[in-house]
Amino acid sequence: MAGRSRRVAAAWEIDAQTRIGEIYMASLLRAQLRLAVTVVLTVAVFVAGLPLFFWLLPRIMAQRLWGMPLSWVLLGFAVYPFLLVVAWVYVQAAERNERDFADVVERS
Amino acid sequence: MNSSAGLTAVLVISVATLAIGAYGWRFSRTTSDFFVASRSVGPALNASAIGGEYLSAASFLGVAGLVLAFGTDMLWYPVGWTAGYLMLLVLVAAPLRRSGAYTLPDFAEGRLESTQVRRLSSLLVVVFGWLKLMPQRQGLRAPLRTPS
Repeated sequence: MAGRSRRVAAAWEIDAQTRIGEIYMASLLRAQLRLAVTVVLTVAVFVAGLPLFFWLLPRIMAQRLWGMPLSWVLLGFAVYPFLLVVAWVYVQAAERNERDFADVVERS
Repeated sequence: MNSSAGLTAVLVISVATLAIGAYGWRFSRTTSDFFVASRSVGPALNASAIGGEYLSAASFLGVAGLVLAFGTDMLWYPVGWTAGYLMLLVLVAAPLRRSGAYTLPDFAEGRLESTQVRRLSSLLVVVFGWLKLMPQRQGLRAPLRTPS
């Protein structure tokens, strides 16, 4: 089969560390790096940026929810599910990047 | 809780830990067995193990005490630890796993090709381990001593 022999070729390019193999690898690494930077920025804005929200929106943050100020609810409780969801989305996206890479390598 | 109940709890946990360790000893042969159970532990079980370590005297009693002593700003500490795990996942986990290293000093040495970095990294592990154990022991002492 023609497809099969060409699949071997793409994997061979990477194994042999040729220029084109390097380009394949660099594209995967760049995709993963872009994802990691996105996650870090998301956390920086929404978690490390919480004091800014507290400062900018004092009226909203002072509103009471379950008997405590909204700022306490955000900092003491809401942050954790948020981080969990971010982590889950990250893992899904990182595995999707790997799958896409594997598909490209196998199909080319 | 009176002191005999506390003593019993400590004894039971110590004996159980030793028993599990002795049981596991028979299966641990290689470096990979010893450090990472030959990568045979699934994500859910691994998360439970890390969680069990995380919910310690320092995080439970420590944070409650900090909030009591210094106010709600102290709620930032556990947020930082938890976000730290996320940073580990995003920035360190994949390269660490791919490098095949078992410990962070191993990884630092492999990545930066420097024995000095390895030494510095080992030193940091010991220093932070110490800083974590000290309040941990102190925190453990508190409930055991409290008369009911």
